[in-house]
Amino acid sequence: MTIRNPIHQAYRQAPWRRATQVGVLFLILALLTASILWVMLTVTVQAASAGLEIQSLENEKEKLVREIASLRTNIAIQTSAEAMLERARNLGFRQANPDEITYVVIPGYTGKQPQIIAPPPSPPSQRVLIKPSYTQSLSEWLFQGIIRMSEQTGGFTQ
Amino acid sequence: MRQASFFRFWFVGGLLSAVGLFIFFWMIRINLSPQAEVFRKIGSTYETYRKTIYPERGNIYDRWGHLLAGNVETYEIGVDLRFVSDPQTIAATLAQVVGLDYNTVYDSVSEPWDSDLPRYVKLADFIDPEKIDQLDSIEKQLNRQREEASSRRRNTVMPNLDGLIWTPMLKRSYPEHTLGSNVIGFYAYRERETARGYFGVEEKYNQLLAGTPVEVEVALDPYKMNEIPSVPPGASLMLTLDRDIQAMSERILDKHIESSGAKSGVVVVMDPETGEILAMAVTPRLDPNEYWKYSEVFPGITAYNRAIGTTYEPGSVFKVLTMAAALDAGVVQPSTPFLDTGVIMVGGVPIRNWDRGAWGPQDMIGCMQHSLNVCLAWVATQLGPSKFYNYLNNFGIGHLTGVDLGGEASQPFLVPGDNGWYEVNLGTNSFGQGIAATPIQMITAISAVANHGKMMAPHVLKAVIENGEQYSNPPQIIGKPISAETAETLTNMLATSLEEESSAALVDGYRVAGKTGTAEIPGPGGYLDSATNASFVGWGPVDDPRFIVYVWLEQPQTSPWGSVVAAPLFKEIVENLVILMDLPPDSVRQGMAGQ
Repeated sequence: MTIRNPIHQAYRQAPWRRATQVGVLFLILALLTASILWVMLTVTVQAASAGLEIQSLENEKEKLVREIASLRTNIAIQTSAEAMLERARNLGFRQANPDEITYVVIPGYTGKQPQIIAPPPSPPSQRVLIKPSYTQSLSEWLFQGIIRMSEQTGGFTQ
Repeated sequence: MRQASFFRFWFVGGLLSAVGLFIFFWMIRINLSPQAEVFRKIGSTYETYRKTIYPERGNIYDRWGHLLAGNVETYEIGVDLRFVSDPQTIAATLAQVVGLDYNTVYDSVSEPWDSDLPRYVKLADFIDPEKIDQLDSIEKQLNRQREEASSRRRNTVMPNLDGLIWTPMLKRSYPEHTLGSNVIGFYAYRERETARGYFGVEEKYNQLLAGTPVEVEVALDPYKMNEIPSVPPGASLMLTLDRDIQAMSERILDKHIESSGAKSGVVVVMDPETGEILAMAVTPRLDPNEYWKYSEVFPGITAYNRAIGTTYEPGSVFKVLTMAAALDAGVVQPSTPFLDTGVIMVGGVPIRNWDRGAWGPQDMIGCMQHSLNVCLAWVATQLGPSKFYNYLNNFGIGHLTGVDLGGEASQPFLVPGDNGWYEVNLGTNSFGQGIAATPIQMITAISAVANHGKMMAPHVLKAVIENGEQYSNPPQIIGKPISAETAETLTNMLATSLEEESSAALVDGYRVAGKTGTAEIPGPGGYLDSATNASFVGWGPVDDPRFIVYVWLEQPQTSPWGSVVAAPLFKEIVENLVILMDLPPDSVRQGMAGQ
C-alpha cells in the first residue's frame, strides 16, 4: 500500500464535515432569503393595510361631512321661524304690544351684534404661527445655519 | 449507501431547480408574449378610476346666523347587474319601500349582464335616508336568513338583494321653505353635474357657493393608495336679511293682500345708512325645496322677485324725488307759496289733481301733504327738463341699482330729444306717471333723503365665509344726488305733512316721514279705468333714520288709494319692526341719549 500525496491527504476535510458545511451554508442562504421575504412581505402587508385604512378614512371623512351638513340643516329645520313661532304659541306666549314693552338702560350693552360665523382674516404677519425649526428638515436647518453664519462673519469670499 | 443518499440529494435539488427555472421561464415568456400588453391594459383599468369631487355647496345664513340654505344627505339607488341573482326580491322591495313601479324595476334588473353593456343601472334618485335605513335592515335580515339556510346546508336559493347599491350624496335644502325665497333663489340640484343656482343669491353668487370641483385619480390597488386631495367646500354667505323681520314682513304683507284684494305685493325694508336690505317680502313665493313647481307659481312672465324685476309707474311716491330735486336746486323752499287752481297746462296739455279739485293757496308742505299733481308739475316746470332729468339720473332712476340679486330689471326714461318725449312728460313724470321704476330703484333713490343725501348701494350680502375666515362686505356710497341740508329739510316736510293729515301711516311714539302713492296703470289703449298701484315709502325715526320701508300693493280692490291700503300696511310693518330692531320710542331714546 503506497501513500500518494500525503500532505494533501493530511488537510482534506472529512466528507461528513464537508456535507455539514454545505448544509449550514444552504441553511444560512435559506434563512437569509426567508428573512428578506419576510421583511418584504411585512412591509407590503403594512403598505396594503395603510392603503386600505386611507381608503376607509377617506370614506369616513366623506360620510362625516355629509352627516354634519345634514345635522346642521336638520337643526335649522327644527328651529325655523315658523317652527319657533308655533312652539312659542303652544307654550302660551304671544307677541308683546308696544305699550307692554319697557326699555331699560343697561350700561355697556351695545345691542344685538351681528353673528360672527368665522373669525375675520388675520393680518399676514400673524399667519405664520409655527416656527421654521418645526417644519424644516435637518439638511435645510444645517444649510440655512451655515448661510446665516457666513452672513454674520462676512461670507466665504475673501 | 452514502453514494445513494448523495444521488437522491442532487436529484431532488436538480428537480426543484428545474421547476423553479421552468416557472421563471414561463413568467418571462408570459411577460413578453403579444397578449401581455392586453392583460396589462385590462389590469390597469382596475388599478385606478377618475373621480370628480364636487365640493359641498356653501351655506346661506341670515345676519344672525340662521341657516337659510344648507345641504342634506340623500341617496341614489342602482344595481350592479353582475351580482344580481334575485331580481324579483329587488323589484318587490323597491316597490314596497321606495314606491317604484315593480315591473319597471324588474325589467331593468332582470336582464343578464353582458360585458358590452353598462354594469350599473340607476333606478332612483334623491331617496331619503329613512328609506335607505329600511332597505338596509331588509338586506341584513335577508342575509341572516341566507346564512342560517347555508348553515343547515340547504341548497335552495334564498331571497336576497345582491347587486343593489345605494350611493350617498348631498342635495340642497331650504329649512325655512318659502321664507325669503325671492331673495335666496333656488339651486336646481336635480340637474346633478350641470346644476346651478337660479335667481336671487343662488344665481348671483353661484360660482362662489359652488366652489371648484376637483378631478382626482383614486387608486383601487391598496399599494398605490394616496390621500385624496382635500376639496374645500364652496364659500358660505351671510346675508343682510333678518329672518324675523323677513317673516314678519311676509306675514303682514300676505294679510294686507288678502284684506285689500290686491293681485300681489312688495315690502322692502332697508337700513338707509348702509344700504343693507333687512327684508324683501314679495308675492308670489316658491318653496325652493320644490323648485320644479316654478312654472305653476310664476305663470307667464311673472318676475321671480317683483321688488327688483318688475318696473311700474310708481305714482305720487315719486314726488319725493321731484321735491328733493327742486329743493336742492334752490327752485323752491318749504314755504314757497303756490296757488292751486286745480289745473296747469304743460306742453299744451292740462294736468289735474287726483281729485280733480282746486286746493287754493298752498306751500310746498301742503303740496306734498295733499299730493297735488298740479303743484308738483309746476315745480318741475320751474326746475326745467334738463335739471329735472339730471336729478333723476343722479338718483339712479332708469339704471340698474346693481343690487346683488339675479334678475334685476330697469326701464330707461325718455328725455327731451328722445322719440316719444313731449313737453307734457315733464309734468306727468313729476308725479310718477309716464315713468317706470322698480321698488328697489325707488327705495334706493329715496334712501338718499333718509341718509343725509348719500345714496348707498342696496345689497343683501353681509359677509363671505371662505376657508374658515369671514370677510365682510362693506357698505358703498353710489351717489350723493342731494345735499344733507336738502335731505333734512325734505324729511321734516314729509314728517310734518304726515302729522298734519293724520295719516294712517303714523306710528305711536315714533316720528316718521313718508309719502303715499296712487298710480294709474297703463294698458294697451291708455290708462286702465278701475285699477291702480298703491304705494307708500316712509322712514324713521326722523332724527336718526334707522329704517326705510317701501310698500307696493298691485291693483287693490277694496280701495284704489295708497293712503287707504298702503299706509296702514306701512304702519303695521313699522310697529313690529321697531320691536324687532330694539328701537325704543323717540321719547325713551332721547331720554336714554341724555343720560
